[in-house]
Amino acid sequence: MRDQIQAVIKEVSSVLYGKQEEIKLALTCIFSRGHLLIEDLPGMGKTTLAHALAKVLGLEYQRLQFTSDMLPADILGVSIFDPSANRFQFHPGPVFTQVLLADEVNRTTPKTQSALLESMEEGRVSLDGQTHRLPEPFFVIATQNPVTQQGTFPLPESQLDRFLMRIELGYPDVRAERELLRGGDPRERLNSLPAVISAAQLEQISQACGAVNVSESILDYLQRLIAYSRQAPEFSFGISPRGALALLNASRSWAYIEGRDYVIPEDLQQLLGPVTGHRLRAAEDIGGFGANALVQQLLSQVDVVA
Amino acid sequence: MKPLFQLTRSSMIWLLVSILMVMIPYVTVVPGWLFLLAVFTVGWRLMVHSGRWSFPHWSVRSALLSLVLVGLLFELRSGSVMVVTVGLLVAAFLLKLTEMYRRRDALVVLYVALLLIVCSFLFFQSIPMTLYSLLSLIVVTACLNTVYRSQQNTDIWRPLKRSAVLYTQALPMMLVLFLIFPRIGPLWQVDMNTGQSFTGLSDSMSPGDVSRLTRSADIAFRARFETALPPENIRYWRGLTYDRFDGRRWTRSEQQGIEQQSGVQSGLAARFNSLRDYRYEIVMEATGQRWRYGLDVPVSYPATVRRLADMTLQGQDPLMQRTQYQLVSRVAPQQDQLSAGRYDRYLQLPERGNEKARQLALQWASEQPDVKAFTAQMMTFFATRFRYTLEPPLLPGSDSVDQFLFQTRQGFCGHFASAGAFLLRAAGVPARVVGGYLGGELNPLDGALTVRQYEAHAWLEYWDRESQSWLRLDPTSVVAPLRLEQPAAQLFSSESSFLADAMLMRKGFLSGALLMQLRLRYEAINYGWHRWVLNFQDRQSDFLQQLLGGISVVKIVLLILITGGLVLLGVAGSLFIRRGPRQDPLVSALKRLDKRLLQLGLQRRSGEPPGQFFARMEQSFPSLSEEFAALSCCYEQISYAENSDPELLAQFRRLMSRCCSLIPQKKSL
Repeated sequence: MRDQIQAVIKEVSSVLYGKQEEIKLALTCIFSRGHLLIEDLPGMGKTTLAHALAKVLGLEYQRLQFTSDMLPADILGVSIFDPSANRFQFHPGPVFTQVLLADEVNRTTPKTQSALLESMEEGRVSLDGQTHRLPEPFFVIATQNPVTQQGTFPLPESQLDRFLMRIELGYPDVRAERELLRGGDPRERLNSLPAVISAAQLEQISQACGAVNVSESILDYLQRLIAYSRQAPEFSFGISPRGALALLNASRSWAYIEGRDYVIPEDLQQLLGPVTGHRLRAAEDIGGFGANALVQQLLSQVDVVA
Repeated sequence: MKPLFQLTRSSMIWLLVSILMVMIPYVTVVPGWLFLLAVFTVGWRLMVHSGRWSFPHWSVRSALLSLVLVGLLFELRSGSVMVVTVGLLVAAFLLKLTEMYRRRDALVVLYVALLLIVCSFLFFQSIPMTLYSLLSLIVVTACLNTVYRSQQNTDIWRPLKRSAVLYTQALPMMLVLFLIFPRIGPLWQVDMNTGQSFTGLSDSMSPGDVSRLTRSADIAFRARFETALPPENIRYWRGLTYDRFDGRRWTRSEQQGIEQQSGVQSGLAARFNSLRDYRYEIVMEATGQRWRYGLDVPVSYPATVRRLADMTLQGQDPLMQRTQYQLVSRVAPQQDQLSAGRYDRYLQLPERGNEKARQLALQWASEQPDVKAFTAQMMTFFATRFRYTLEPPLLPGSDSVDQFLFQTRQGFCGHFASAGAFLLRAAGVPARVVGGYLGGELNPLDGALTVRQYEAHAWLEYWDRESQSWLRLDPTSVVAPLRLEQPAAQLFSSESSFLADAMLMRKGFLSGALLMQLRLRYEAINYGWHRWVLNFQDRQSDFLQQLLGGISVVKIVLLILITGGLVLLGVAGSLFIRRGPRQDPLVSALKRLDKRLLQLGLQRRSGEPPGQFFARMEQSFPSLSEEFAALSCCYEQISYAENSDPELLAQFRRLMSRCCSLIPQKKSL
């Protein structure tokens, strides 16, 4: 199975140059059955990554461009009266898919953002008193622009919390950029990407990730991290139990991708930023501009062994 | 200017309670006008607290201060130095309230309050008082607590709870210190005569004195026998002898003389005879006098007490507080080779007066030349014609003995003893009046005899030429034989003046069995309190001796140091243990390595995972890269992997020690 994972990484890397770490993080998120939020400036390859992941993992996907005039029905679907059958007919929206690429999710209003809430958490949609199950597995890979950009609505905390991870791509390094400039737009190759693994294999990998060993000392370290985030005055609020659980699960998947069947502190440290960065808020930060400094503080102040 | 320190509400409440509690014991001690001052200053302080008034102007404060000083100076004329000194402290305490600007001032007030609590022990040492002081201590500490807490705490009781917990925690330490802290004698002493008056015998006796004592149920002393109790009819507790008579009043002459008893004491004590000798301990209440009580002839007594020629005991100083001492007494006639000077002294009578009594004595002496027959006749005379009463008619004239013998013929022990001694002296027999107590009530709870003031008694002793010894003669025993056998309380209970001052002890109250039981219990506790707490310094040496075997300063200091050290060790240990469960051997090994690397500045950084750390070391010490790689692998396996090989730990240790030894001492750069 690890070969398949390596193959997935290789395939995605062929359209997104020099972003191995980010690709692995994205895979970690998916193996942990979590939703992924990719945040960066326009044009950094967010959509490319999301697209490539969906293709390579062999999942059915829908792309949805969020705009400011979007309504919940545009995502979830709508019931239309069918005069011939003399009843309402439900027309599923784009959310009824295995991978939903929610492009620029923070360009739409909070009302529409909230429409995603139930589907992300429960894997189902309730409309007009009827509940419709979403297909299994169901992932949301959302991209968003930084909140400092104009025309954005910051995601509410409750919505942010639904995402297992938030990752940033950043500028490619010089060599990757050179390759990019030389080789032309890699997006042309997106459609020709093969599906490396099947949905069943994805399920197997997920289960294998869940079986990765977590030792007592790792749990100690995790608890120290949590405790510190809850006590230190720089933190407006600490890591929630859900956040801690997310960090632990993601660490397992990461360790599995790294080829280990146990978690080491480096895994936690690697994932602390992506998993908790969007869940933490500094005491002085009212706008929610990010918590990178807090994550760094956690990493440097909380000792790994005690 | 710094803003004024504002006491919080709970602080103010506790301060008021503290002041009240601290001042209450001083109600009977310091002059009453100090309490007016208290009302004034506390009132002003309250007005300041509520924001209505401001602090008093300096002129007001100066005026108050000078008034207080003048008042205390006036007190100095009448009262003792002690009271005035404490009064000064109280006044300072109260005046400081009116200039409590800063937290420091509040602290000063509370520290003085603590000092005042301690000072109250100068005046009272009873159990209730001690408990009360403890309570005050807790309250003042609670107030101290509130002063240090800046934020308003809504829970008024919280500081009190805290303070109570503090004192509970301090209790074991207090007990240890109480037991082992050396009692050092005071560097300077103040006159402790605080102006209080004592009930009890005085150094002169005139008709009516003893009946004054029967109005009181105060305890004179308590005696606890190691040997069997003496029978009731010989429980004559001698206090002092009166040898001078001025026609009305018996006094003791100053030149009693201290007996040279070095040999006598040891010689007598060596032949301890369980039939005649009684070993006992006396806890004597303060009398303000120097004499100490004891049965018949004390043959062994503490070094702080001297035995006078008349076989009474005398302390070095007037007894100003309860004391205790151990005695061995022998119930036997007192051998005494009366020297000529002393012989004359015991025959001294006024030049004239009481002529009829003298004639009677001479007449008897001519009829009965033998002393024994003479005394027998005198006793018969008393027995047949006299009546025992606590309310005799007054004897106003100068010939009081004549009046008593031939007119009133009513009286109590003092009258009989006085008249008997007069008759004996007039007949040429050396005689003296003895003042003391007769009887004692057995407390079945602790087996101690309690002797009360109403058991005060006077009898006489005459010198028998034949046996060269003093013999006891108690005319009361023939006039009122019951006085010897019954507790005085029963005998006197019909007399209206008996225990007029002691409501609780009077008949009716006394007979309540439950009340009686309570009283006995209370006295037993009080006795133990005195023996084991107040006078612990007497026992401390015994205690330490048992503990250490032989006392020396070095040993005591060592004991204190060791005990203190152990306590501190215990505290440190508990802090250490509280850090958590025992450390992982891996982690401690890692920390050892860390320490080693500290000198080189390469120690593990905070938050650096061991794996990264070892990788860094691989680069820092290329010669040891293999070892560090292996260490990293071992560490990872042992710490994080599932079901690691136990062999790995041993390997890890080997690698670790190898690395530790091979790391260069100094950076080789």
